[in-house]
Amino acid sequence: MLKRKMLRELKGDLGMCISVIILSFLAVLTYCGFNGDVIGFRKELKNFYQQTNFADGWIYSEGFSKEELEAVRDLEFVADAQLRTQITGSAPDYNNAQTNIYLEDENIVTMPLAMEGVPFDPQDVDGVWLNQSFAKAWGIQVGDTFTAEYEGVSITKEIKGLVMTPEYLYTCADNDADVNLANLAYIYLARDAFPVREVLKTAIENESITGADLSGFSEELENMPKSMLLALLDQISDERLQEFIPATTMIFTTNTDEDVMGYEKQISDALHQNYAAMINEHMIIGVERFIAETQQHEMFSYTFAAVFVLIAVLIIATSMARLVERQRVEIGTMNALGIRRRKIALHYVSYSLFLSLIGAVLGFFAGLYGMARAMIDMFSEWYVIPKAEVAFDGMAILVIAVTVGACALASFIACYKILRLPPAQALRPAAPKMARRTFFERLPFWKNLGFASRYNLRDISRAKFRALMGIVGTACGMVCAVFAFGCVGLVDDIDDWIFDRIQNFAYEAVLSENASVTWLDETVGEVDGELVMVSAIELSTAGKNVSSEEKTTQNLTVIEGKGLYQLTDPKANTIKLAPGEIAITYRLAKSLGVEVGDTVYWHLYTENTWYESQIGVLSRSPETAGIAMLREDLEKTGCRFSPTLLVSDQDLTAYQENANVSAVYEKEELRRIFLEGYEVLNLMVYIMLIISLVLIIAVLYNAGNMSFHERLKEFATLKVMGLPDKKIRRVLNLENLWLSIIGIFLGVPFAQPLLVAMMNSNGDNFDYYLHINPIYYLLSGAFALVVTLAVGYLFNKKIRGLDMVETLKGTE
Amino acid sequence: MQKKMIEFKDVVRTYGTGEALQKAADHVNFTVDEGEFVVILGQSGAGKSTVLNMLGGMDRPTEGTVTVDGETISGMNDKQLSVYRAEKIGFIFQFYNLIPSLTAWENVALTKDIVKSAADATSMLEQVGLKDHANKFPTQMSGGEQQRVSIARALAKNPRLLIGDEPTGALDSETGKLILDLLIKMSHEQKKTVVIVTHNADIAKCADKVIRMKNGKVREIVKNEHPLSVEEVEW
Repeated sequence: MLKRKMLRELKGDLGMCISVIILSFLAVLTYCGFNGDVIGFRKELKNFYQQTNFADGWIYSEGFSKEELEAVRDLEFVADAQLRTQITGSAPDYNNAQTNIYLEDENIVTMPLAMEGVPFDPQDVDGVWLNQSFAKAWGIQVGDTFTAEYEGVSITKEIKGLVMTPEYLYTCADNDADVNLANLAYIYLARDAFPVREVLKTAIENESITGADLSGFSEELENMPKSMLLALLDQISDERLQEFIPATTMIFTTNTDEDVMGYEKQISDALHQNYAAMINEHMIIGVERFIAETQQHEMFSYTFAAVFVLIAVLIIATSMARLVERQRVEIGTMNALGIRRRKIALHYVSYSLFLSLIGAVLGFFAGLYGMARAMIDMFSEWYVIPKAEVAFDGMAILVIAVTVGACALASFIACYKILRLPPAQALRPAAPKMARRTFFERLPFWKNLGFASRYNLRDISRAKFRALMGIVGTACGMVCAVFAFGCVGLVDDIDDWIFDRIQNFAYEAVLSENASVTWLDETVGEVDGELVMVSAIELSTAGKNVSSEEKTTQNLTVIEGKGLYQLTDPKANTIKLAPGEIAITYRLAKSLGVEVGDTVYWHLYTENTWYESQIGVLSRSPETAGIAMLREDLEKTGCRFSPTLLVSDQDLTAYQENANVSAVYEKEELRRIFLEGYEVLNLMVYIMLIISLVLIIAVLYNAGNMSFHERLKEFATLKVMGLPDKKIRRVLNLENLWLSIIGIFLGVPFAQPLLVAMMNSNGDNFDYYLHINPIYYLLSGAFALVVTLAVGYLFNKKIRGLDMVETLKGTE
Repeated sequence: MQKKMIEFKDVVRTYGTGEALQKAADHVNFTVDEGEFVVILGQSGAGKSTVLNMLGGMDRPTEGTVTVDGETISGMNDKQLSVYRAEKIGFIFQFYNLIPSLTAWENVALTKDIVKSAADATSMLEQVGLKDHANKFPTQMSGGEQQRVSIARALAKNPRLLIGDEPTGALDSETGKLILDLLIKMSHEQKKTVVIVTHNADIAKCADKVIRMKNGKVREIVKNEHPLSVEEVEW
């Protein structure tokens, strides 16, 4: 019978029921939605690592010998190790897409996973193994031929397999702002399949390699003319030529679960310090980004779930308190009839248990199979992982339990007060609450306030919890709305920052790895351009040759100061580097604890020589962290200037086919690609606006509904007295409007930090200077107000249909 | 000759349909003159509150016409009824129905939001002898005081008609007498038409006219040639 009672009463309080269901739904939905993809991705990633025997450590050098490989293999903690060479070429048949070429003579660590075709065979000199994501983007099949171009030499092989590796979990071509799978190919080739002789011959002919470059092999070569070098090349054995494509990377796995960086000393000793850098999987840019992204989702899942549970608890606590107060006599009757208190308590607890459970279960399924599925589908465009499926863990169940438990507890606390009363006392209606002067009455303008304002201010004082619910709910809704509109503005801001301030040029030529310096110096004058070098470095504040804990991987940007490639200050305004001045990015400086005047130490990732520089200025870039300097200052340190980009306002497309150039891009094309990468934010805009909408409606409708029911008799009296429906509605809506306005102002300070936290949690490289345009605050506030007013209209029918006779009949 | 203020002509009010059809008012006919103090008397379920609700513009008859001050209110729409209630009617409730979160003064002053010509709240409270209680909240006042505030609130609109549903029903006899006296004075001194419904036959002794109802029908209409003063009545 009590179940029937519960169902009938819930039907009579549909507004509260729907609010509690919606908020429990949102709490679990956002948790499972933001976390379901994370768990799914992580689970699949673990499999991916196992299947590929993914390396635990990467050691980079100018070249490793077989002996050094054996020395590392002999270390007790090393399970497997192998060498490989990585060079960068292009795919001429596919819009000159960047092609990372891996040359290997064995395949035991970080084995590319064959998704189609046969597994990679490092002895097969006829085949090439191409990444599946690139193949898919271009419709390439196993059995087709693939041509990679390196230093003007074409390497054409039959595709034997389409592969995937965790190293490319998330990555983009050097020239892309974000992932574009059609722009980045990576191939695995047997080391013996690489046409080293042809490559060297072409390089000598093009003068991108001169005798000076080869002096490391033999001093006699230093001043040797091109013709002699070419003649000499024919006399060198194939085996000797292999020295020209040194194994620059050693990858290894360990037989322990400990971080490999803890073994760097032993590695260093084994290699006699002859290496440039060592990293673990967390330092791989793609993996780091993936970890940051999943952590960001986790942060979202906990934050949103906590907020919605809090609001649901507020709603339950206030609604149940009202419901139980209204049923005081019924509780007394049930008690007097001999129904045990525990059973009565359980009966009232079951109200919220029932409602929140419905919401939570619906949220669980909608979160996992709706939101998380959509997230996986969306992020699969960025993260290349074999087969991610949504998943959940014990925490999802715990979140459901916490949501339902918190709601049930709120109910229990609400009814416990009345249950403690002796039945005789509970059977009598509660004495009316003593009205008291409120804080508002001390305000100087109190006497000038009209009836509606005084009435509502006293109502707020009387129902503080309800008011708090309305304010907190609207504040959260406002945060979500600013977040959503802020995302729209953010893309415009970053677009403007990168493409109008930093990149003050119209064309960009990506230079080949060994682009001829002579050619570059000539060309840069011809096109009135600027050469830019962007290179990975290791940076330390502790000194040179320090251990891994004391250094971080960053970027070095070297410019010529011609104003085509510019730097921006921490407020995103352009700055000019003065000679002798080194810039460090703002977020990096903060994390390292350095400031202007301090010294930093660095070395190119691929070279072992350390340099030191004094910080002269702080800079800021949205997507690059590191240091920047002028070419003349770099050259003063003794480090070689190896430009990676030639930028100009003049059209560079004529250089597209030049051997020194990998690709030429018009800035507008770069901008388009960049904006495509930010399409994810559009989804966030919709998600946040929907959450904001649902939240404000649920909270304000519930607050209004409670206020309406609590003041039902008063409204009926006012109606009898002749107060028009319009004015009664205004009285009711005015209160919600106030709560909403307070909520809007309270939400404002939280919106920007949340948006910054979300954007910057993409990784340490990201540092957005976000200035949310006031127009977006106004838009968000207007959005919240429109929703508030729309909620007001939901009460129109109620007020119009208010039966004065019936309402006042039951008055005692 | 007194002006006819109220006329109920063949008024029927039914609730429900089919077998569940109930006639709360069954061909009710009566008239009330301007300035009369009228009591509608009857037991519980007699239909007196139904009649009062129709008179107050809170309900509409199923059949028949209700005319007040020359206007047929039975054909009015919700908006017109709202204006009618605002301008013509002052309602006094059994349980006062004051807004608990407003002070006595504010409860009366809120009539300014209903009719622009509403009287000053302070003078109205003075009229009912509660000038010193202006800043008290309803819960800080006795039942009689609350009812007096309720009367002040009703009078503040300067209505043509004062109607009360058991206005003394929740009060002890002494306080009830005070309220009754106040209503009679309003009727006789300020020429307000006052109609109250009650099941208390003793109150009827003070009325100018008594309408007795039973089972939704008017059984008897008695014009009291010599109504008793409140002091003479005992209940």
